[in-house]
This record gives sequence, structure tokens and C-alpha cells, in this order.
Amino acid sequence: MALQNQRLKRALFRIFPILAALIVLLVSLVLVSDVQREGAGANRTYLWVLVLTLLALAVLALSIVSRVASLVRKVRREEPGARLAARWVRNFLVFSLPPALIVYFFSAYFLTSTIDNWFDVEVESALQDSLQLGQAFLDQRTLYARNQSLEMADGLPLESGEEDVRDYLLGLVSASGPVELALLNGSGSALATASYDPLAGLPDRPGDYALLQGLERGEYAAAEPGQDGSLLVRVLQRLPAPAPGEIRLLQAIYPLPDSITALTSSIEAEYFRYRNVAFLRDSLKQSFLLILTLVLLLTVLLAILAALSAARRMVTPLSDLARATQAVATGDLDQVVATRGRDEIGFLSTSFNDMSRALVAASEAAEEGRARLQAQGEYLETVLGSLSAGVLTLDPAGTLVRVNAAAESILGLPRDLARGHSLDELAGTYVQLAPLAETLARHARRGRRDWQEEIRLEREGRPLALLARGSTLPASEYLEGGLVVVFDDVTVLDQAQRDAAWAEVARRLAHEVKNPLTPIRLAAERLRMKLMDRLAARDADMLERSTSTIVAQVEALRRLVDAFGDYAREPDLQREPLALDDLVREVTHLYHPADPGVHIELDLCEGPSGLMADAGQVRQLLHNLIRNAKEASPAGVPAEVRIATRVHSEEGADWLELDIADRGPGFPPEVLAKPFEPYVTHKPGGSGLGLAICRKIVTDHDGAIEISNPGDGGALARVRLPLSPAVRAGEALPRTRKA
Amino acid sequence: MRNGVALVLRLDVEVRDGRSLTLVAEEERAFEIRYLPMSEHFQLVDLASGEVSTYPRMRHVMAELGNLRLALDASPMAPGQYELRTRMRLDRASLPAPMQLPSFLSRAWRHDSDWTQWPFRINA
Repeated sequence: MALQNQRLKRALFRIFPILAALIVLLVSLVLVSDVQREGAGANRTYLWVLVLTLLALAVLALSIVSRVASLVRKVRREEPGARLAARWVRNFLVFSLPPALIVYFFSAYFLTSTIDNWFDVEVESALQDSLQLGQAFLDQRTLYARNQSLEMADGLPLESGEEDVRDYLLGLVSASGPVELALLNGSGSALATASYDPLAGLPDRPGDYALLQGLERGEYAAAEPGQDGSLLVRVLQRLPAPAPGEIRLLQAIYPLPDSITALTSSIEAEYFRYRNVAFLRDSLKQSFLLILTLVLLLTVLLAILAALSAARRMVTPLSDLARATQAVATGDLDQVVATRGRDEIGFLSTSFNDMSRALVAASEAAEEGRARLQAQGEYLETVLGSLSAGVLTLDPAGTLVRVNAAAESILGLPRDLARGHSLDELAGTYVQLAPLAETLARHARRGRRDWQEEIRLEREGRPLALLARGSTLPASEYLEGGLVVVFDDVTVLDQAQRDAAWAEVARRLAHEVKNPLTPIRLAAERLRMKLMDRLAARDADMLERSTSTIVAQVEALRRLVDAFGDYAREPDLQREPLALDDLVREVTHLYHPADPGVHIELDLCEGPSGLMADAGQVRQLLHNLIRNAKEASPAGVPAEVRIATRVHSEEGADWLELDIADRGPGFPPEVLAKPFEPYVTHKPGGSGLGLAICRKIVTDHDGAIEISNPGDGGALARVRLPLSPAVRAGEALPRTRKA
Repeated sequence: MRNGVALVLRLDVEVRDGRSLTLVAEEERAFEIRYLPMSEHFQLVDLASGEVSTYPRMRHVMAELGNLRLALDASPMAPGQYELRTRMRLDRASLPAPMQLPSFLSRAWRHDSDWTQWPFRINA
């Protein structure tokens, strides 16, 4: 609806000036016809017509001004097609205005000179002469009448009665004049009348002027126009007063012959017509010029309007095309322009639409290809991100192109930082990368296309074993080549292999060594028992010492073998809900009173619920760790052991964290480097299995253990055990083990 | 006038109610004055009745116009206070067409008199 209104408005906006122009044209024609009639009849609408004309012209001019202003704005905004339209209008005006102006000035000159030529000096003087001739004739006739009436006045028998006077007057009237004679008093009233026409009524009363003249000057004689337009000569002669105070006047009326009257009327009319036209000459010229100017204005304004309309009509398809081309250039390919007509512009529009459609199709195909490519890239990214193996790709210059999440995680690199740098650059900040960078450089120097190598790094003081495979990427038109390195963190695998090996060793040791120990011990005891009494005191003493040594060493061996047995034992957990705080108190209670060399400080949280663990195993874990702490303290100094538990949430799961810390010298570096490796010990006589067994217990419970030397001194072992949420929510803890 | 242009004078007569000034009656009289060069006389024509009178001088014409007799029919008017208003104006629209534009634009052609008022009363 709004669109229709807009269209209607636009249509009216276009039609209105044209209508105005037509009105101006019409009015101009009316004016022309009026002027040609030379003032025949009154025209009350003249002023309104003029005002309307000026209004129409103003509307036309306003319309043009608004269009020109719009065009100028468009040119300033550099809208497509505006300059072309402006040039079109300019050229149109340059070609159309001069002829119009020439015609105008020529017409104006022609009109004024033609009008001037209408008024011939000779004609005017001839008419003037005719008028004067007529007047001279009238004068002569008047003089004749005056003289005759003077004679009649002299012979008037004033002293006689009115009857005599009338008879006298009747004797004087005639067809050729005077046709009427009257004796008047001072106010012009007739006292006696004689008329040639017996049917005539009252005598023609003289006008005030004539009467006054007759009274004051004694006589009046002049030609006067009658009621019916005919001319007559009226003569008034003052007569001698019959008595004092009485005034008498003789009036004589002389008609002019009909032929003379007709002639004088004709001369008068023609003379008037001529004078009239001559008088109106300037006004006529002004009117003609006004009309001409209106027509010129109309022509010029229509020309401008036509130029603007033609320019718009011509330029609109071109500006549409230009706008569409700009839109296409900025990437908006879906452009269709209206095709008008079958000319070159129409052909151009059709071609443009074809091109636009082809571009859209090509663009869609390219977009589809790009989307497919992107999907493939995302797929590749997802695959790489899901891989547990680290993947690095490097360009031929050694710069990292792609680093997957696993690689960043394994190598300990911040997310998305490595890309765009070379390994050598990164190795400056992240020293753990140095062996990897060195390996890659070595293989590059050797020019090997494919290689596989185990690389050992050290990350945050821990060993890191990588099994890396490198392959040179082929260079092609689209790929610049480079290198892809895939590596796995085999540290755990390595550890597992070692653990398995140690377990095997331990099992064999337990099996192979434990069996002969009892016979050895029994044999030694039997030797002592059998021979003790038979030997001299000195030998008996030696035997006693030797057998004691054998028994003691066998016992030591047995303990060692038992420890190995513990380490090698397959996990056989009896998991049940366990209150760790109770268990810790129970274990520490054994140390408190009995052992003055240990001082244990507890900081335990209640429970916690949700711990499913084998109480015996956990007890052994606590014993091992407390003993470790106790053994670490220097001789003679009571060991300060602090045991703390707390619940810790991480990655949506709850964990029980158990810290056992001491104030001793801390773990030596070799232990920290391989903390849970069997047989890595710093204690003389230690089996090196304590921590290894601890880790075995913790890992059997799906937990984790780590050891460290905190900054404030001593050693810290931190155990994390998972808490089962189902159990945490529901079950109450059995409190049976309270010491 | 000596160039043959006849002038038309219009006399507007109005009777208005003395209080509300509503129009009660109105009349318009038109007169044409023209010059006759042959006899050098002026003619005054009452355009309504066609009555022609002739005067040798213009002042006589003016004097005649200043001495008009107006007959108003008072019978439809109720008794009360009234006001008679008259004015005389030159009818420029009756001038010859070429003169109309200048006459409309030029102040010299504006000879409209102001309204002249006479209050009067009709008694019951």
C-alpha cells in the first residue's frame, strides 16, 4: 500500500509540472486571443489568469530547481550516472537555448516593429484632417445658425402677446432649419414654442452650461450630440428685457442633414478607433512581449524539464548497471538490472544479467568447494585434536605449521603459541624441546625422508620418553612440502615395562631365593646346636657369631624377599567403604606412645564418605610413608610428621587428598628423578621398594601419588584417591575401626 | 478619454443593519463616460437604463455623478437603525485588454473611493 502511494506520488510529481506547463500554454493562447481583440469587452478573470500563469510557471520552475538540486547532490555524492545525466542536460540546454533565445528576440523585434508600422503618420494626419474638416463644417453651420438666429431675435415682437410671438416663430421654422424655435425665460423654461414637426413634444431644454453661456455672454451657439447620437446645432440669443428683472432667451435648433451626421459619426468612430489603438500601442507591445516572454519561459522550462526527464530516462539503466557493477565489485554478486527496450542498453543489461547469473553460479560452486575444503580441514583438525599422539608439521624452513593439542600437552607448550615459530626458537624458552629440535635437525642434515627414534626429554625435572616418527612431505603445486612428526609419550609405557620387569624379577627372587632360605637357616642352627658343645670355647664363640650372622642375614634376605613379594603380588583388593580419618588415627596411635622418635601432627577432615579402599593396603601405605618420613629424619632428632586429608574437586570429580610431610632433609635428586623406581634409595640398607610399593597400592586404587620437596623444607608425599559419588551421597561410614 | 478609451465607473450601494452590520440590501449602478471629439462633448451613459446625457465639460459630468438620485425600496426592511454605504470605483476590468495589466499593476489607475456612510432610521 505504502509502495503504491509512493508510486502515485512519484507519478504526480512527474505529471504536475507538465500539467502546469499545459496551463501556461493554454493561458498564453487565451491572452493572445484577447489582445488580438483589442480590448473588446471586459475580462474580469484577466488578473486571475495572470496570477495562475505565474503560479504555474513558478511550479514548473520549482520542479526544475528541485530536480537540478537533486542532480547536483547526486553528482557531489558521485552516484553512478549522475555525471552523465548532468552532461546530457548541459548539452541539451546548450543546443536548445540559443535557438529559442534567437527566436524570442527576433519575434520581439518583429512584433514591436510591426505594431509601430501599423500606425502610419499619414493615416493619422488624414484622420485628424477629416475630423478638423468635420469640425470646420460644424463651425460654419453653427455660425450660419447664429447669424440667422440673431436676425430672428431682432425681428421678434417682444412687446406683443405670446400668440404673436408664436406666430412669428412659426413663420420662421423650416425643414432646413431652424426646426424648432422657442422663447425661454431665465431658468430655461419655454414661454412660447414653434416646431417644424407638429408632433414634436416639449422643446428641447438647453443644458445648464448652454443656459449660463446664453445668460452671461448674451448668446450661445454650438453643435451638440443629440439623444439618438445625431448632431444638432443649438443657438441661444439673449433678448432685450421686456420688463426689469425679466429675462428672455431665443433658442433655435438646427439639425444636420442625415448624410452629414452619418459622415461625422463615421469619421469620429474611425478617428477614435485609430486614437484608441495608437494610445494602446505601448500597452499592446507590452502585452505581446509578456506573452512572448511567457512562451519563451514555457519553452525554456519545458526544454529543461524535457532534458532532465530524457537524461533520467537515458541514464537510469546506465546508473542501474553502474550500481549493480559496483555491488558486484564489492562481492554482492546477486544483482539483476531491469532490461528496457531492445537497444544497446537493453542488450547490455541482458548481458549483465547473464554475467551476474554466471558469477553467482561460479561463486556458489566456489563457496561449496570452500565449504567442503573447510569441512575437510575441520575434520582433519578434529582428527588431529582427538589423537593421543602428538603431531607437528613444519614447513621447509622449519617453522611450525600445525601443532595438535596432544603435542602441546605432551611437550608442555601453551595452547596455540607454537604455531609460526621454529623449534629452535621455542627451545630457547622451553628447554625441554632442545633434544627434539636437535633430533629433527640431525635427520634433516642426513637427508632421511622417513625416520623413527626414541627421544628422551626432561620436562619439569621428570623424564619424558617420546617415540617419534618423521616423514618428509612431498612438495606439489598446492603444498610446499615440509615435515610431519608424529610422536607418542611412551614414558608410561616405559614405566609399565620397567614395572613389569621389576615385578618379574621380584617374583623370581621371591620364588628362587625364598625357598633355600629356610634350609640355610635350619642348617646353620643345626650346625650350632650339634657342634657348640664339642668345640673349644674360642671356636664355639666363632661358631656362635658365624651362625648368628648367617641367621641374621637369612632373616634380612627373607624380609627383602617378602618385600619383593609384596611388590610383585597381583592386586587382590578387598574394597569397602573406608573412613580414612579413623584409619589414620588408628595407625598413628601405634607410633605415638611406643615411639619417642616420632611426633605426628594430624589435620584430618571428617571421613570422607565415598572412599572405597582395601583397609589393609591403605594401612600399609600409611606405614610405609610414615616410616619413610621417620627414617629420613637425622639420628637423635624426633621426626616431625604432619598428616593432612582434604577433599578436592577437579574435572567434575571428587578426590581425597592425603598429604604426609616431614621436616627432614627432603628427597635426594636421584629419588625425585626416578621416584618410584624399585631399588632407587638413598637409605643404607633400604630395599628401595617402599615408595614403589606405595605407588603400586595407590595405582591399584585408581589414584595417583607424587613426591616433592616443598619450598619451606622437608619432603611431601601427596596421595590422591578417587571418591565415588554414589557412595558419597548415600551410605554412612562404618565406624568400627576406632582406636 | 481623449484617445477614445471609455471609462466605466461603478457605484456600489449597500444598506447594512446598524448593529450587526449584516447586509440588508445592495445595489450596483454602472456609468460609462466617453468623449466625442467631433462635437467636443462628453457623454454619460447609465448602463442599466441606457439613458444618455451630454455635457460640454468633464466637470459637468462629475457634477451630474455627484448628484445621483438613488431609490431604495425600504418596504422589506423592518423598523430600526440602518446604515447606508456607498462607494465609487473605476472598473479596470472593462478597460481594453492591453491596458488591463498596466492598470492592475499601476497605482495611478486606482481610483476607488472609500466607503461613505449615512446612518438612518426606519420608524415603525
